Amino acid sequence: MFDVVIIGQGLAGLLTAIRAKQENKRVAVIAEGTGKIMQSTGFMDLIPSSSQNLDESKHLFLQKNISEELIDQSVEWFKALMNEINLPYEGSVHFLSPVVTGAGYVKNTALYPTTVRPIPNKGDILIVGLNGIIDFQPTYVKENLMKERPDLNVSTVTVDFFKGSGRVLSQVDAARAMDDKQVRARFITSLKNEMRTKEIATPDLMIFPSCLGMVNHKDVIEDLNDSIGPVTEAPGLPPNAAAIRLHDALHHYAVKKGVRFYEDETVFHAKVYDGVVTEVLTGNQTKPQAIKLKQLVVASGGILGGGLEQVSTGLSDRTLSLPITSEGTLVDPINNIFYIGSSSKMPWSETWISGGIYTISSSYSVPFTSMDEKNKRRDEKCYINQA
Amino acid sequence: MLYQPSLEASYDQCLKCHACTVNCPISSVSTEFGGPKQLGPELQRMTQNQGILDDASIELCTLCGTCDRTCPENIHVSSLTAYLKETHAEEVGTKFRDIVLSKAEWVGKLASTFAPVTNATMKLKPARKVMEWIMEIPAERNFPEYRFNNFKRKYKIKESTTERKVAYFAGCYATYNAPDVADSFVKVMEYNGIEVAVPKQNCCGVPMFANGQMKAGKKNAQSNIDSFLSYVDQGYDVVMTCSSCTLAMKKEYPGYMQTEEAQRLAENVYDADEYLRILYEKGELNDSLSALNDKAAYYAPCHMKGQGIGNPAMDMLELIPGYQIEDMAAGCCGQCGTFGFKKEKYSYSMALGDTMVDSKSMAESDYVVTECGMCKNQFDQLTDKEVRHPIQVLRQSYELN
Ligand SMILES: Cc1cc2nc3c(=O)[nH]c(=O)nc-3n(C[C@H](O)[C@H](O)[C@H](O)COP(=O)(O)OP(=O)(O)OC[C@H]3O[C@@H](n4cnc5c(N)ncnc54)[C@H](O)[C@@H]3O)c2cc1C
Ligand code: SF4
Ligand code: SF4
Repeated sequence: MFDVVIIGQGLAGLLTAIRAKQENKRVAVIAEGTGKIMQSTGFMDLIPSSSQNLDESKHLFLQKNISEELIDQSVEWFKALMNEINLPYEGSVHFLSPVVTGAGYVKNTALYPTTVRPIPNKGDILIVGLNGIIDFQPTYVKENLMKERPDLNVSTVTVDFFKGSGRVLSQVDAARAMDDKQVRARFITSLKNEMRTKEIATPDLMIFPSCLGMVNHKDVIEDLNDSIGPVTEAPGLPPNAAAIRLHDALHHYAVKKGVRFYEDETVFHAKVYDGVVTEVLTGNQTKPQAIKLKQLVVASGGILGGGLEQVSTGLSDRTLSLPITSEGTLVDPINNIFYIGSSSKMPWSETWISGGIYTISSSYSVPFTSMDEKNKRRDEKCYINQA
Repeated sequence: MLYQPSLEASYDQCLKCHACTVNCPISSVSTEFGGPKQLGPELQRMTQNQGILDDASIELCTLCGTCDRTCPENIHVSSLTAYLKETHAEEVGTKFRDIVLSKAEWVGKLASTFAPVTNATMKLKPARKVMEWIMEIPAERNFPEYRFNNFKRKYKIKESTTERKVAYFAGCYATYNAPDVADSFVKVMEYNGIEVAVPKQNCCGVPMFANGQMKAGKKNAQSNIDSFLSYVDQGYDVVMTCSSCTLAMKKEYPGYMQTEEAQRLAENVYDADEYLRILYEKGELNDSLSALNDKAAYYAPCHMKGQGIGNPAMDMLELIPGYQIEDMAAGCCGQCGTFGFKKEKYSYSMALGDTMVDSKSMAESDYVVTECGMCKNQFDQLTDKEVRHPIQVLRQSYELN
């Protein structure tokens, strides 16, 4: 018997699992795969592809029962958590910050990791590419950035980094290599040489693909800062180191805190008695498991995350097998089921993209019911009954 | 519900999202390795269009199954890499060393028969240098010790007379190297009023699959399916202590064999702690566990995570009064069965191992708890920490009564 069972290990699922553990619950996460967090930029957007601050968009959040106060509290909680797991985030939902993407576009986001710095309006910028990282082309980035920030003085270089490989390499491979002090030192020397050859003066900001270290990112940033100058990551096409760091840190922390992960498992049915859900069935492995629970949190990502399916008759719930509305939530609401993150449709998007801030605040809105200790011990006897 | 990773259907759903390669332990230490995305769905698609394609870097895949767990599209990537291993072995042949390593059972029988000599020889520097030279097995690599008094020699019960009946699959490691794990399992079951039967069994086949010996592995799978299904038909539950053997019977047998028998066997296979957890939930567990004031660090083997059953070892050990245990939340150990015994892979093995043992919960613990004998071998190589199987800890708690 678990106090809280969470379906999905995207941003919504991982954050909820951690918060439930902070409330001393017995927690399980059931997931068939990783979430969209792995393909994300690592930025926590307020409303994806919009530049509105919270003032202009809070009515949309209210439609989902998320108040401004709740957003503020949840953002504070998120920042405190990120500090604790050594991946601090900066920024605000009240004043969005302009950040540059791996394609050179400037977008406004609410929260960003400290490997990222907001992009200024003026000054000297150096865009640094690494040979082998084909998704980040400095000249292309420059072209787009100049359109957005015509007053910037932008130069580009590409530095030798990889010597041949057995696969197409990504920002994550570069980030792992950068973790090594010697590799990093060699890289800095080559970068300085390139700058000297191309007669590039020390810039006000260097823009890199999202590859500045995987675990030793603080050292990478510091070394670059000390030997040349300030840097920012520009997350683009996946995989971005900024996103993988976030996923790894949250997953690691949740496991350490004792969250039980049932991975490569697909929830396909929920058992409801007297208006409450009492267990879910999961499959994919050979025998279905029945997992008993007190509270169920659906963090299955909806249409995009795989929890729902578009079929000829409309939306179908492949996760709980219960009747759902066109928004993806239950036709007959059940008290102990909570929908968070992208699992239901957003008022701002035809594409069901919820964005980081809604994901954080909806996850934070799940109330964890309290139980007295005596009940808890008794109930523990039967958290899975065999099918 | 039928578990059927169909090779045709699966690669088509690949979104090229990179989640598998980003999480693949070998890809994290080697840029030479093609990685699951490229060697799984992408190569499969090309093979479909252009005929059989080989990629030598497939030798680096350990069949750890991390790609299967992380793929959001539910593609069983490691089935694709396992078949590519077979293709590759057929194209270029298999090294004599790898054939020897893949025959864990044969090695176990031989080595345990001459146990004192084997163990002493494996510690002799000159002998190991010769092995490195001829066999390309690194001289510094730790080997598990072999026991003359192996479990097969000692335990002969083939039929259970109790109400609950358990057919135990011990696996090569608990049979030849760590008979204490097998003994402990029998004892813990005894404490719960269950007599353990040990049916005729062969190596589960995992070392063969991992070395591209798919046909030999399937032959072993079939003989185990035949032997254990006859027990299942008499009402036995199949219970196992080795996480790799368990995962093989639960997932690889149905996946590779694609037969109804493999499926039916898989439905009746349990990890030892998973089985005890069921007894606990049904109120059948003997809960007279004595206090143990130990502080342990739990290491979850990849093949345990791959079973999708949560953390049954910690669920059980947390029932012991006074017992403290924390999950190390570590990644792959790098031993990966036969992988870590190979010279050309040793540096990758060590890179992964060093990350694994760099753990605060391990440093602060009295000992490490893990199900896998090969992960234990890596701990033995890299640390002085004692490593126990969760079943050994439970036995100790029962015996203190
Ligand atoms: C490609 C992409 C990139 C994005 N990038 C950003 C970004 O950079 N910044 C931003 O703010 N927002 C971004 N978003 C928006 C995104 O919607 C949210 O920010 C957030 O990641 C949503 O997380 P989630 O946990 O709700 O869902 P998801 O991340 O989709 O997670 C769903 C989880 O549920 C599991 N699951 C589904 N069905 C089942 C089942 N039946 N049984 C078991 N498990 C199941 C899945 O395996 C997965 O683990 C992006 C969205 C997409 C699609
Ligand atoms: S089985 Fe393991 S080593 Fe092989 S490709 Fe998948 S994750 Fe990588
Ligand atoms: S994780 Fe799955 S969908 Fe993504 S690239 Fe790998 S195989 Fe394809």
